[in-house]
Amino acid sequence: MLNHLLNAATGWYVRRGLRAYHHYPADKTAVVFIDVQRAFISPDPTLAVSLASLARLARSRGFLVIHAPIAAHPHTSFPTPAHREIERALSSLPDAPDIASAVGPSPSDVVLPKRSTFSIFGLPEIDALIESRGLEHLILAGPLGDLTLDSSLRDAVQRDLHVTVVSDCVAASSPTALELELRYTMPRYAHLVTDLEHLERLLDS
Amino acid sequence: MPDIKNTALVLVDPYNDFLSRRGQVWLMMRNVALSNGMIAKARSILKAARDRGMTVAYAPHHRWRPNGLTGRKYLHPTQFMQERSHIFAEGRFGGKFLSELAPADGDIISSEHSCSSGFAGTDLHPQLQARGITHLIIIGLVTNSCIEATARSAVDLGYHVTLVTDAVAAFAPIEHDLAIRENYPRIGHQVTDTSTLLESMGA
Repeated sequence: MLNHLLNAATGWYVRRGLRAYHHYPADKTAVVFIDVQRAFISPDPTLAVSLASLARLARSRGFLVIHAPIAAHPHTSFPTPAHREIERALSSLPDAPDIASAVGPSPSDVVLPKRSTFSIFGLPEIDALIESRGLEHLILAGPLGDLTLDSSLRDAVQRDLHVTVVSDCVAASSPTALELELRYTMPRYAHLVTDLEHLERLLDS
Repeated sequence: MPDIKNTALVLVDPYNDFLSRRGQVWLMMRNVALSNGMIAKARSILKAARDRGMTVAYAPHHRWRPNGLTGRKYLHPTQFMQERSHIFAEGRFGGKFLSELAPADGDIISSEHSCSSGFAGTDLHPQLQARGITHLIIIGLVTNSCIEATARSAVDLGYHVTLVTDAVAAFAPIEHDLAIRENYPRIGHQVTDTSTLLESMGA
């Protein structure tokens, strides 16, 4: 009970303190779709609808849209159960590795090369893109919240980027894994974990 | 158990502020740390590693110091709290390692990590590479933040990662329990407990 109260109080204090960061200039903001590939999206129409809404919102606001897909075959000496799970899903159908139609890609989007690391920062292209475009605000979404989005979030804040996670545009390996991420772990690192509706209100304010 | 020469025990953030009764956040850490006995277990793993000549590496969190985070534009929540609480203050009790888990001569002590992964922006990877390390056993604090982040980075860097469920602790039992049940078995190569690990080390 004491832990719960202390955690809640700390969370409230931090959220209040970080409010000043939540501005999203169009030329400094990107929405990053992490592993939004057919293999991970098709069984969940709710997630696809939310991701499509986020893609529309991003394009209507002039945000850069970045697609960061993962490769089917990890180049690692020691594949983990997560690697094997990802590989299995991406090998299930010929079009499974393709970017899901819910999010595009549209001609103005940037599609990063496929990577084999959990984190999107495993390839140098993302750092080069952030630097060349002067990006400071990343809005993250993706179906592998507990696997690749979590790793990418931690690496993004390490780089002094302002990071927002859109909770209804995230899925995970299980409902409890999703709860762990959205309720406990991500709020320790992301500047804001919020849903689409609140994000839209913030952008309008 | 892999070849001892290629394996390192990595201790993440075994600071007094986390683990000492006088530490700043012991009040939050004690539920998990006392119920799973993580301090004694981490100490027994450390002793076994030293007895066998295994490389021991420390991955310390950024110690608070005046203007230590100057230049950062967007403090993340953990940094925001550190700036206000002065947790792990340099030169003070809280910023020193718990004496039972302190480094010895010959250990690697990496540069400090400012976010959560012991590898991010530090010299931990080159120091481990210089000793030919391919396998890591990661213990310390905190189950779902710096331990998990260090494991995630290690996997991305190509290491084989072993996580020890009762040699780590978190701020709340639910965070600890969910992390070791949900994330560790997916992102780690081996998830074990202290007694099984010590048995595999022949301790």
